[in-house]
Amino acid sequence: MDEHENMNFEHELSERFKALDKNIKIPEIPDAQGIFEVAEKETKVVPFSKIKRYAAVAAAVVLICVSIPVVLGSVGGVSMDMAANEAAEEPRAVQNESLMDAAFDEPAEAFVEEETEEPSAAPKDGFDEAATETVPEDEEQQKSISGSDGNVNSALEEFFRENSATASGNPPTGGNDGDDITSVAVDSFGADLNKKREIEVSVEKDSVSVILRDKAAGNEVISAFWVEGTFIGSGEEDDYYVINLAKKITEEDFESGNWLPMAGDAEKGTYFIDESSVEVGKKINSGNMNIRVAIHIGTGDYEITAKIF
Amino acid sequence: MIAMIGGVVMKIENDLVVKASKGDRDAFSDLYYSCYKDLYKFAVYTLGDAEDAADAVSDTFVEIWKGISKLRDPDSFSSWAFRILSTRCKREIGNIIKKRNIYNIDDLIETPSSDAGNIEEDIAESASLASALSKLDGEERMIVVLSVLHGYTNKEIAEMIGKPQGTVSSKLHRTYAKLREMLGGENNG
Repeated sequence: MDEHENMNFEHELSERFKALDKNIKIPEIPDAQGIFEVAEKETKVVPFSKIKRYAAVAAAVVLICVSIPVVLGSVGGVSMDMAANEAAEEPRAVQNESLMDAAFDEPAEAFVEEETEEPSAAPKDGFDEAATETVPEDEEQQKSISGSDGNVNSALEEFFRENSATASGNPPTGGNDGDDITSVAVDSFGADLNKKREIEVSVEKDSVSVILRDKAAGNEVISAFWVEGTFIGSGEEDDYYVINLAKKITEEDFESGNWLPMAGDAEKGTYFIDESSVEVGKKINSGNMNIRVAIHIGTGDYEITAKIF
Repeated sequence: MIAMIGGVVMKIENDLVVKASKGDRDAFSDLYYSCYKDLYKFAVYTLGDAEDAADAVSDTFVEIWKGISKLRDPDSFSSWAFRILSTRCKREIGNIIKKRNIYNIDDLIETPSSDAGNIEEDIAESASLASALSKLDGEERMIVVLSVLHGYTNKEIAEMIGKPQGTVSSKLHRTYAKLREMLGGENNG
């Protein structure tokens, strides 16, 4: 087939498409008001995430409550009542701790690993040195449990109060969202996972789109979503495919209440990730956030966690 | 200013996008009514089911309303909307495969009005193209519709559907070949 034939065919196809397009039956367009109502309803569903947030805070409170007697006991002994309470709380505390571990331990590890592997990635994308500062996991974890009051907002408020002058010069949103970037870079990975899965990660300037397919079922899409953030790196970790991103929180974002990274998929729509998925150290030094997305290769379920420096 | 996104079909007033992004519901409603048809048709081509298409478009507009305040460049509204819709459609295609639904766009074609020229020929042409489309997979339909009907470049389509540009180019090439075989063979025979 030569180029001329191709062009003729494309022209003919275009004309046929236009003819078909004119004949497609359009149903009565639903009232736009319905869109607002659904959006509001979905926004009101957010309390579910708030419940999760409260649950996480409650878990942290239980942990702290349990930690205090333990610390006191190690320093100066503990009364029988406290010991009894401690014993009674322990199973719950352990359970909660394992939940907390699931949320925080692994991400922290991955952040450290990723930063070590690609030290130049974040600065290249406009992050300051503090963003890539490697904090020993244990030390940071200790800070998070013993030092943080569990309120990410208050920590950010303190950071912006102290760094207002410098923070005001930050870009509006996203890590590398400077005006000088005008083109959208697209990258992809086509690694076979478990020989039955294929994952594609499309990298854009301030987000990534992920599509997980089941190769054994006619490339059926089993998971598709996007997450806000500047791509840092990705790779397999056991049964998960992990993507690391970065985002800078600006004072403007914080004041508007929209500082949490956005994500979206077909089921949840566009949403801000839950605040309970965000870990913060004792003190925020840069306002940079590392975001970790872990996709289960088998089920397509994904979890987004973040850590603010 | 009216922007002709993609050069063919979807007309978007940037002013409406800007106002909608600031929470203006009237502007968003105007935007909704002005681009509903194009998004619906795209969903119909991709999914081949009126109800699924309408649901996908409604969901897409909910997402658009929820996320439009974050849209910085009004010019990118159209491609952003298609991107949301294509993600919806991809998920829906998965469900269709699971449910073993049949793609049947023929039912969605209406009889042209009497002043539309040769009605029989028109219907036959539309039906043959619809039939050919039904033999493509969902992604091929998305790509060819965005390219041929909406005039997007391969790079733009790659960004919309989350595929590498090279993949889009090769898929489009293969899809052309398939359509040519199905439609061309018909013409020649």
